[in-house]
Amino acid sequence: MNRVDAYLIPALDGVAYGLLLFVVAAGLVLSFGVAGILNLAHGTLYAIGAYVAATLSDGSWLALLLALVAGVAATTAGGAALSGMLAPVPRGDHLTQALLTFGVALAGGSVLVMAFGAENLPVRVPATVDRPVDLAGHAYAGYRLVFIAVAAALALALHAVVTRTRAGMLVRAALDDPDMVACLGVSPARVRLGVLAASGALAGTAGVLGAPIIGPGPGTAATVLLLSLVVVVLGGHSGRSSVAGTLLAALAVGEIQTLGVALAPTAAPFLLFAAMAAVLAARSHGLIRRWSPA
Amino acid sequence: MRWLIAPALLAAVAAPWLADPYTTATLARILVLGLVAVSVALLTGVAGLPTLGQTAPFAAGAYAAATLALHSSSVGVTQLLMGASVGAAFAALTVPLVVYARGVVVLMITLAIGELVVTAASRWRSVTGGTDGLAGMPSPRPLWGLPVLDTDRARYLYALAVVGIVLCAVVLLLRGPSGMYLRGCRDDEARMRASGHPVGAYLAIAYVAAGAIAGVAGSLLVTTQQYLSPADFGFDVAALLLLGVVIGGAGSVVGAIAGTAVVLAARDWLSGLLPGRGPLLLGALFITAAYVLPRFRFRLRRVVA
Amino acid sequence: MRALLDVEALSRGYGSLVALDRIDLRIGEGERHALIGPNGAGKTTLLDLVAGATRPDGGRIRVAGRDITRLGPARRARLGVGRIHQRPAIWPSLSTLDNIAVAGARRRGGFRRTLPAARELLTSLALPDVAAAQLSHGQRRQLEIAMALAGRPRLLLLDEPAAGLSAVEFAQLSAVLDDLSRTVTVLLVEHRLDLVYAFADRVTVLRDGRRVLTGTPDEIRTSSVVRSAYAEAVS
Repeated sequence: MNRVDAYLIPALDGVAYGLLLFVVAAGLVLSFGVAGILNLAHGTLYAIGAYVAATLSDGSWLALLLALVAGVAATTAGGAALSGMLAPVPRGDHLTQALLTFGVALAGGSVLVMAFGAENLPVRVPATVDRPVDLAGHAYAGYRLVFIAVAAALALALHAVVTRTRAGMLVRAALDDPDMVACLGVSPARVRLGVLAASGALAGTAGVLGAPIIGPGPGTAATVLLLSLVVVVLGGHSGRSSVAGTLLAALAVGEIQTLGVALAPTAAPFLLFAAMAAVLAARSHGLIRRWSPA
Repeated sequence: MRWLIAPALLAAVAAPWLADPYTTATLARILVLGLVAVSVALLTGVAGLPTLGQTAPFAAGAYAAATLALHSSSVGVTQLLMGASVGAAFAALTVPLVVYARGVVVLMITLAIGELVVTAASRWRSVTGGTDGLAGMPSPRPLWGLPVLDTDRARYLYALAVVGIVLCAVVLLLRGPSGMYLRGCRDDEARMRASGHPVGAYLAIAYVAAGAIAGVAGSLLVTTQQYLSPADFGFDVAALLLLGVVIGGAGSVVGAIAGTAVVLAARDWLSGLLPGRGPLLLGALFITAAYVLPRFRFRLRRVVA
Repeated sequence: MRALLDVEALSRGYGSLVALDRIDLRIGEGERHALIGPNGAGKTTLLDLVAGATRPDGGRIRVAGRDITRLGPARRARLGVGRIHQRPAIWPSLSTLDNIAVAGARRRGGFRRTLPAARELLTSLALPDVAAAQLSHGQRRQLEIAMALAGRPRLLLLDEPAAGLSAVEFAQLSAVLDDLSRTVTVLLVEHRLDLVYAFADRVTVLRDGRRVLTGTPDEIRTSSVVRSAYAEAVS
């Protein structure tokens, strides 16, 4: 009994972590799958959200709300600015996109360190949930439960948007066939702007709300970027599977990073490797059997 | 640009007599990273598999050679072979992850592989010394019977010789059918298949060869720097290499070395300008390069998955 | 004469659209067989299936008695299936000679061994030895034919080779096709009926994914069934 309970906490942590990664990765899938942009500054946008949360939150819900509004506004603007910067780069030129967005990530990270220092900043959680909750005889951080609920609601909302709205339909169509977007008469510049702004908003939301889980610090942007990239690669990015696949992949990565580490502490980085290898191998096997023409 | 090669070679050979030991050591490090860049160019420019993950076999070869240097052999050739084999073996293990994807997905996967290797190196204290790294590797003798490389100049010339030999081998190989097959895979993979060529096998071979080249560079890093830490293999290094390859002309392995030299020189100069603001200026360098460089005309083919 | 190509009950659909509906086709060794029919009849789909570019939903494909249904395009090419695409597929960064040599290398035991044959093909098709990127459309078509021939194909699949050719280029193409040795079996998809009737031994008419008729050019030309097939497609 005790052994199972001992792993309940990390497992729950994995859900929280996974949902957090889902929101972040959803932004990457959006910008990559719809606008064909590999945005290496995505992690930096998360970090901005987290730093805003660290600065503004003082233990009250109002402060959290304020941080959310300010953080999302900042990262949405950041996404829009990135869109402008990427305007002269041809759509298919992923290498230049990578170099450009990496440069922004480097410079942005340096600015953040200059502004906030090189330490990991603590984040204050609203006082009413800043206490352990009794869960099957174990104490669990109240905020994390709230976060799980909020993030799950966000995931449902995203799913609804993608499946039921016109914009969502365009997104799914574009994920299936990016060239089609041009034929729909929507200007590519506007698509890029919308997609990067939305993606920035998602990163900012995740950053502000998730700061107590992955907090602001000099290594945050890189960690978040790496993990969300793994989620994107594992989850696939075709229209059919976008939300569900990303969610599953995010939860898997979240569990590996928490439960996996608890179960096998020394093997942690290799677990992620192994998971990537297994998924990609299985998918390529399916590829060979399905025989998609190159 | 051909006419630059002879004077550049001359300058490269003469450098250690013209510069102080510190600069010589720096130049040696540039050569080492230039060799990794050659492996990046092979994959990105020739085979059409853009990569941000060649730091991984680079690290694997380096740590393997360092372990060898610390515990048994102090012969350069043995260390080089160790680096090459471990780099190739690492690439062979990760081939299934990479070779079924195309285009920018390869960028993402290789980025993840590179970062995961750095994380693993930081945690695997028993082998890699963790974030403290490995130090105190004794200078090797290039071959049995030759004197130990105990000056920066000697180590530089050794690195120059190894890089030169590998570079020549790669250039000669790419001039022949192998180069054409890889370019064919890059330009029109379906056409290659329609002509009976096993595209997957060709790309896998190129990937393993690139791993071996990066592994050789890893063992050279041990010789020239005599100190290893995970920071030598971080993502910023991978990005610098990619920038160097793009500057040098993506399909050119010789250009890769020149481009890397330019990028590293620029980085060092910039960090000297405003100490502590290194990443900011480096970021500006990347952004500027993205706008100023002749547009990289390669269309990365859309992912198959 | 044994059938070189034996297509049995071949079907392919895209969602609810049926591109090919249980097609049967047998082509003898050395035969020149043409596939005609209105647009959307499934002609290119059939070529794609035989070449291995797509997989069928049902049915079997046999080449020289060997079941190749499960083989990939590269394996089929190594067995002697050669193909020309609607839009000429060549390697622009290589020279024309290298294009031909690379294309034939796997069937002839290596690049260097293929070079002499490649040079011959270069001259016989009157192609200049330049960077392939510089070729005109018609020249690219010729180059692709040379590339297909370099592989010493047993079965040559031609997908609308006359499309987009000038009168001069068309005459050159006809000459090349006429000169083709009878060791090569040809399956030709074409809209230009003058080429079809001049070149083909037998013609199959497809419509809406089904085989309407197979016969000699004369039979096809005078058939009312064929005329109505085309007419219905047009109206």
